[in-house]
Amino acid sequence: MDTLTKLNIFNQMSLRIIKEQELVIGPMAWNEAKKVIGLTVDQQHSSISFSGDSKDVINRLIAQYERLFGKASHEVCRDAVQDMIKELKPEEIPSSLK
Amino acid sequence: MTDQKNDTHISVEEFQKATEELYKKNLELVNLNKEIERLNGELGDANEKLKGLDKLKTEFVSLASHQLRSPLTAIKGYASMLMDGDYGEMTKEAKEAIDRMYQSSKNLTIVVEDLLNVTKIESGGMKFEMAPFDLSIIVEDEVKDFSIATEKKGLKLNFEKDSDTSFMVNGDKEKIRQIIINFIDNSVKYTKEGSVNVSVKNQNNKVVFCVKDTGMGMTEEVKDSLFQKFARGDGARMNTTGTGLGLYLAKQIVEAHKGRVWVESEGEGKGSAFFMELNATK
Repeated sequence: MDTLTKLNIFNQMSLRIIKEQELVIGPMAWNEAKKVIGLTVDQQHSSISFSGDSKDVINRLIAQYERLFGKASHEVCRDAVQDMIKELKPEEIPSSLK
Repeated sequence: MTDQKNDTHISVEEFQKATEELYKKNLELVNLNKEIERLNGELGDANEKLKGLDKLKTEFVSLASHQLRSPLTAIKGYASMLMDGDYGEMTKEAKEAIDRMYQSSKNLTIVVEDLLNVTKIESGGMKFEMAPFDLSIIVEDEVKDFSIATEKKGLKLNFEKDSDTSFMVNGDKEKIRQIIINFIDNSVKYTKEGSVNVSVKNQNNKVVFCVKDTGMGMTEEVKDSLFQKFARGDGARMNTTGTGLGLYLAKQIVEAHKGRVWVESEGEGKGSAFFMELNATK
């Protein structure tokens, strides 16, 4: 998988995670995502950009929710991207999603 | 004051726990919503399938009824010619047999016509020829036609209408006539003794046709289901003819005229009264 495709997958993953959290906690899901270092969300909540290691950004995003809402929120993140994880090699999977 | 402050204070740990609990509850709701959405989707699919099946059923009934109608007409025609002696003289027994055959084919024709009308009205294909007419004239005509049948049964047949009142309604005269015949016929059929009283009244700009009898009456349960498809009252169940579609059709036709039909009965053995109400017109 080339870098661009991988980046795209991580982008989709984070979007999927935020949208799934939004179902449970509402707009707060976007506010919390914006606090994550290395993650930039546009005004329309339609695209996301990363800076730094994408795996780390995803780990930080999941941790952000877990810090506030506990283990249940971690499970929600994992379930949200279950099918996408299958497309990644084991070493490419962010540790919090293993 | 200090005590009160302490009572309302919660620790960070307690707040965290409460937030997590709230999250879990929200998650349960989200999952429940997803399940409802899934079930709704399944229901929608099932509904679509049912609609398709219903359409097929309607098409089948319509086709079958049309196919039955032509041979039935032939059977009735030949039976009638046989009875008239067009094919030579017949013995008394043969005549009786042909008469029974003729009556049975007539009954079957009614069944086929009812089925065709149900498919027409349910598919929105029934045509109504709307025009203003005096309902009391039709009722009076039909009462006259039933006078022989009631006399034979030893029943009194009365007709009553207010004088100097308009009974003009806007509707399909022939279809309304069939309903009037149906109501009177039912009352005569299921009344062993006493009377059948037919009336037409104008009440608050509504023309109300009523057939009240001293017949077998009905329970509340029967009353509630009488205008449903294939519903048959106790009397009808004892009778072999009839489809249980007559009153259902009556209701559908009257409702298409923005009117209503209903039945009143004090109970079994206490007679019944069938009503049809239509909007009065000038």
